[in-house]
Amino acid sequence: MNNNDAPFLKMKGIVKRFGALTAVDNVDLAVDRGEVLALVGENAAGKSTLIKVLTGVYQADQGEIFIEGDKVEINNRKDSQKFGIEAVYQDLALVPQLDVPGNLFLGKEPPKKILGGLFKVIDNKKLEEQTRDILKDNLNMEIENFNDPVINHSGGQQQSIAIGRALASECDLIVMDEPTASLGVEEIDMTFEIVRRLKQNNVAVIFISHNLEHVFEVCDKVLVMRMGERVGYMDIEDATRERLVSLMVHGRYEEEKSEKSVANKTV
Amino acid sequence: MLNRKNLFSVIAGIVILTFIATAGAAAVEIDLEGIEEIEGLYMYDEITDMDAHEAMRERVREDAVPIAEDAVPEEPIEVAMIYPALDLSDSWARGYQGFIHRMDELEIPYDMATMGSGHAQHDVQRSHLETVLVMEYDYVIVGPTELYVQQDAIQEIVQHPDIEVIVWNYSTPLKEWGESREEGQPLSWVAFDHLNGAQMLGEYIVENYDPDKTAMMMYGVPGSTSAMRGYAQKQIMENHGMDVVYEHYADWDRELAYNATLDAAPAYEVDFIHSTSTAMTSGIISALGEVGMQEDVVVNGWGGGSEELEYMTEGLIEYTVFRNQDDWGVVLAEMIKLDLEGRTDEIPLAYSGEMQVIDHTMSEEEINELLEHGFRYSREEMGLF
Amino acid sequence: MDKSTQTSGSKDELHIFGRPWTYQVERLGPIAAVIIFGAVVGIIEPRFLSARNVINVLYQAATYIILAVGMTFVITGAGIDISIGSMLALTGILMVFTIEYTPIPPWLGIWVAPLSGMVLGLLNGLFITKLKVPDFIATIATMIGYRGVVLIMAGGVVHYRFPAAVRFLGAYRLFGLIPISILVAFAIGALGYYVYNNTYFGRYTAALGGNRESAILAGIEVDKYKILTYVFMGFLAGVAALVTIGRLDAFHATYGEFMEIDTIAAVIIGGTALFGGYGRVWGSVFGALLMSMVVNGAVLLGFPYFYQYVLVGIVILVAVSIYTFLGTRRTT
Ligand SMILES: Nc1ncnc2c1ncn2[C@@H]1O[C@H](COP(=O)(O)OP(=O)(O)OP(=O)(O)O)[C@@H](O)[C@H]1O
Ligand SMILES: [Mg+2]
Repeated sequence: MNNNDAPFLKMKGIVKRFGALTAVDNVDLAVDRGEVLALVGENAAGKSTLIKVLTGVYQADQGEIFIEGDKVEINNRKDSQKFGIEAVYQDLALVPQLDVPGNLFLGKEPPKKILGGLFKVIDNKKLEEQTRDILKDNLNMEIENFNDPVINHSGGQQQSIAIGRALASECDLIVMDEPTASLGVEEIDMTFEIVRRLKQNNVAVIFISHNLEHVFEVCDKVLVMRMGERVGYMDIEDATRERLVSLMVHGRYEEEKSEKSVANKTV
Repeated sequence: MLNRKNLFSVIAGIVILTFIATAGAAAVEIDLEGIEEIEGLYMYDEITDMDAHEAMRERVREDAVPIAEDAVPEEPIEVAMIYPALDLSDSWARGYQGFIHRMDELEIPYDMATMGSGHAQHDVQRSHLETVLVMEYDYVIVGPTELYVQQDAIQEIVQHPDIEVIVWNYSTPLKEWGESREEGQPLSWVAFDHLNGAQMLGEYIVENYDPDKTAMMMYGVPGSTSAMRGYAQKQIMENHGMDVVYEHYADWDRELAYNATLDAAPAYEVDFIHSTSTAMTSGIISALGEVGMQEDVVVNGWGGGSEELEYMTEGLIEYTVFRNQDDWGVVLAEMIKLDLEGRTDEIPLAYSGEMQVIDHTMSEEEINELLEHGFRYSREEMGLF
Repeated sequence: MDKSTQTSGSKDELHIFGRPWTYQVERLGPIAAVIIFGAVVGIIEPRFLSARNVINVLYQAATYIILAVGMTFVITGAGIDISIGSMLALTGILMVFTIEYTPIPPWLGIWVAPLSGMVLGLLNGLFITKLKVPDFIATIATMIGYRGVVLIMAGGVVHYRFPAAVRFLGAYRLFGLIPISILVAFAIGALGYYVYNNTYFGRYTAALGGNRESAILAGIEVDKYKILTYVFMGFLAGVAALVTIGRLDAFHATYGEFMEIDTIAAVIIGGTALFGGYGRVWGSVFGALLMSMVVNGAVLLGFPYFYQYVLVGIVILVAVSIYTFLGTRRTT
């Protein structure tokens, strides 16, 4: 059933364990179209794990996922792609030996029929055209020699290619895991530009970053994680630097109670 | 690698034992009918003029007599030697040494090309055989990876009007090629006849050991050589009343023979392990030492290479068939000489080098004497041991 | 991946025809080596370039070209197939038995070789992906196991003198001159090149070999494509069996032994990255041709046998050093 009031994505009570370690502990998350949600937390807080559950790389041990109010099963990458979820992973996930078009459209290459429809092969010409379009329109970027393997390109260019890859398909939600980590000033601005454009185009964005400046720059809401748990969730207007840092480090801010008690947690 | 015991027990089962004990030696017979691997081959004594054969043995035994002056070629003759070298014990190498030294002594000027391959690289050897036709050598000595695999390519060379072929390591002419050189046989076939060797070892066993023994057979790569050296041997042993309880293919390889012996010798409590090559004998001995069975198990050698003779003086093997290793190179040179002198008629169509069974009762002097002659050319490069 | 791991910024690098010069050297290296080697040996020993010898070299190369094309895909997918020699022998004996002992007509029976090769390759692929046995170990196991079956079936008996349908691929010549086998080998090279660059199979094989994680993240069914590389390899091992058996007009249980070494060497000489992600199909074709030329050239120039090995070893070392020096996309 399609519920118009429901946010595009809702995750409820997500738990993910790796053996004895509980990397994500009963976390709720919601993000709507045209909204940019920041996901912040110290190293090992469980941010990447949470989004990998969302994209089907990991399977949650507990919890439910709703898309537009409907409960869905996401068991692998194909499932999440089906629901319009794309991701720019922290570890880039480029294939270093493939060229720019090969990486941008990996898994989504345009097909062409040959031998009277007997075989389906890659339409390399169309692939290159689409690559030019993405680079120009979405990334605002010029890459010479895009048939060189991506490992021959600079770190910033690789980061852009990784983002471009998420944009290469029509999607409703993009997760960006520390997209600004290895970028120069210009490229960071370009990334903000992309995020704003996505927002305008009514795409939901989850933006993970350690850099709070960047969070304040483009995000609408902030969700704070600490040791696998959700310890804060607020509009960006209500967030201050001190408040976020305190939540990230201690799990609470002055007298304010975090949404979840952390008193009985051992350190 | 694989136990073909059952198959060959059946074959052995249909063999009727006919052995006549005469004074001194017990003649043993081998039924070749049952052995598929060597179908279509003449045994050397079936087709060769045995007088020419004996004369050639004499020539090989004696010192070199240089080529007749009017027969010395103006240009050095070109000789190609094609052989599967990777399974070499030192016998190929000694044969080579015997050949080149004898050629020098015979004062025949020559150039030499060697083309090797692995024992299973049939395609590489085929390419070498093609090369022979490109280069048009005068004499081609070819030790086939497997006779039946290479027969067509060799035949093409035999039919080339300017190239003479000696097939090496086979003394068993193909029946298909007729009965004479005119009908399509090459200049000659030269080997230490495997079957003859098996027969000699068989006679020794029949003469020296009681029948109520169990034996294990160690073959090389499945094929004609394993058939002649091994299956024939097995027939003789079974006909004698011995019980062959286990068979193994160790690819002429020391390591594989070692492993197989380690597993099988204690399990079957064998009295005999019949080996068909020096390298495998060496593996068998090490393994028996490991399991403390060296005293109890009779092991033989094959070929009487330096390594084997050393084992024999140490009491590790009981008997072996000793081949005058250098001879099968010497005989090649002698055949080339006769051919150059226009005495091709005197060359036996197939030739088996001289062998004799020797055993642990031999004294060191006697053994040394054998070696001095058998390795008379190769000792310079390779020593006696 | 931060900036320190980059090899070279593509902008500063000299480009020839739109590609970095290193790429062009890599691409043209093997064919240049074939031409230069052929010319040099041909000048010293003109018979090297005689029709008969060229045909001989091509006959000898055909088997390895066919195997090397398959191996290029396996290695590009970060795999290795040690069992190809045993697959060649097993597909060969299956075909030989079919033709000798069943009423199936020879022209139909020969298909047993490539088809059974696909089944053997499928088994390899399943052991690797489903049982999670490392490629090297799984195919060593099947190398031994498949060979065992060959020995059970064939023993030491040589099968020979086959009908024309069996000899056709390996021994016949177009217009009495060009071996059919080399035409087939080059056609397979061309097909392999097309498949590598234009099909999902080719692209995803490179992706899974280059970065298996990203391939999974991109929604690629990595196991499926991994298995396919082995099936393709098995198919080509069957074709190579036809070529070998046809050429020698005989079958022996030891066929194919050590062929994996020469095949892998050809692939490496051709410029394919040994750890996956990047294959050069034409490189493998010319790598195999070069190997066969080197052995033949050494024989014609009168190098003693053991020196031929040294020579082949040097060729491999030189090729790999050049590629390492060029340093393009060889990441481990
Ligand atoms: N595949 C895995 N197997 C075992 N443990 C894992 C795995 N992935 C993550 N973890 C553990 O889960 C915890 C959360 O890791 P995660 O990568 O989600 O943190 P993060 O918030 O993304 O950190 P960072 O800011 O450093 O990227 C860590 O302790 C990590 O070691
Ligand atoms: Mg992370």
